[in-house]
Amino acid sequence: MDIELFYDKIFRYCYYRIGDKTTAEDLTQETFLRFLNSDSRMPERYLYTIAKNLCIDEYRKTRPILTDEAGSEADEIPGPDETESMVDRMTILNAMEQMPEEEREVLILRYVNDESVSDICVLTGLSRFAVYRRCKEAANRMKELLGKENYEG
Amino acid sequence: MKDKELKMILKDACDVPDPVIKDSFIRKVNGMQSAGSISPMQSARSMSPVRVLAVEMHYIRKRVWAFSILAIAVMLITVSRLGEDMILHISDMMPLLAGLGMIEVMRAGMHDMSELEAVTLISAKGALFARMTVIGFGHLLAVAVTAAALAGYGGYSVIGTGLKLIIPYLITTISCMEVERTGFGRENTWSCMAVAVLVIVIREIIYSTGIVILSGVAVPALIVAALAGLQAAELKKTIRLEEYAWN
Repeated sequence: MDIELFYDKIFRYCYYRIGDKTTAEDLTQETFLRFLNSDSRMPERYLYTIAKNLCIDEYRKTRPILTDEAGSEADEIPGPDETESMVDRMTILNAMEQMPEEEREVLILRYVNDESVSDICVLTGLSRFAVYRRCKEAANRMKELLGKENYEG
Repeated sequence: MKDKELKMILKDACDVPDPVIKDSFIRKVNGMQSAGSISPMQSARSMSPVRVLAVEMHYIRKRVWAFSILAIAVMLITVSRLGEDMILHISDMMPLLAGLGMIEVMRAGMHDMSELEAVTLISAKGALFARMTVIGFGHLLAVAVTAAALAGYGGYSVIGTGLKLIIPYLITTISCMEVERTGFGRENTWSCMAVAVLVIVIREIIYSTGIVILSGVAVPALIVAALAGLQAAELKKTIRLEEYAWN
């Protein structure tokens, strides 16, 4: 298994669920450690199941704080390009926060991590058509939210 | 905003993990695996392409292979008995082979087995592609053998003969893939054979008018190239059938 590839995928998953980079890193590492200590013959998509449960536990402990790296490096004044990308990131994180949980899940899995529909079916317990429908609804809702927040990419 | 743009925006907006922390963790995990304190990570079970082809070859019914061999035998016997129009008459067998092949390829979808295939080790796309590859190569062999025999008996060009035999085959497979995407095609297994018969009838009608289309090698080659492009487009649509149907 390509640990590096899955590390990035699980990190992105946690990041979009929690909204904090540091917490996402911690949860990513915790996910891998739990996976390795369980039956290692489980498929890689089991990583998502572990990550999802950890994110839910983390969410219940603390309300997610939408921060980015500039929040932890207050002494540095970001340049104009960095500021713009921070704003974009905050806009998207805000939009994600407004989406229903189920739609956010498939949006991250399908659009961010490029997971196959088959894997998403197993992870979510939905049929293939239900996954396609939910992906479509999630994408349309995100586009609508980004449009409202005048996101220009 | 298109889906592709949304995808790019979401991926770009995601923060990246700290490379130092990430590398350190990965090295730590590798170290723990080497020390045996945790089990080594194994990839999920997967099948090699050769095994996939072997599985799909086993899945294809033996009667299909029997008919294909019978068709080759008939074509070879006919070669020695027919006159100058032997290519045209023998090419009537090709739509039938193609129709039978397409029934076999689409059998999983027709009998609602494709959903089950989707959750097995082989993806539905992989299974479909493997079946088409197995049947396609089998029939390509039939074409090659027949073209060689025709060239031997009639003094024709092997390539030109082969191209003329492939044209009705490709027309049939393309048409069958279109028909199979309709409700009627899905519910009626033998609709592919109806398509094959229609191709034969049309071919005979064109022949009876005396119009000579397939002379030489260049024209058939161009036609085959165009049909191959269409076939690739149909294959892409069929493989993405679920998204296509949904949209």
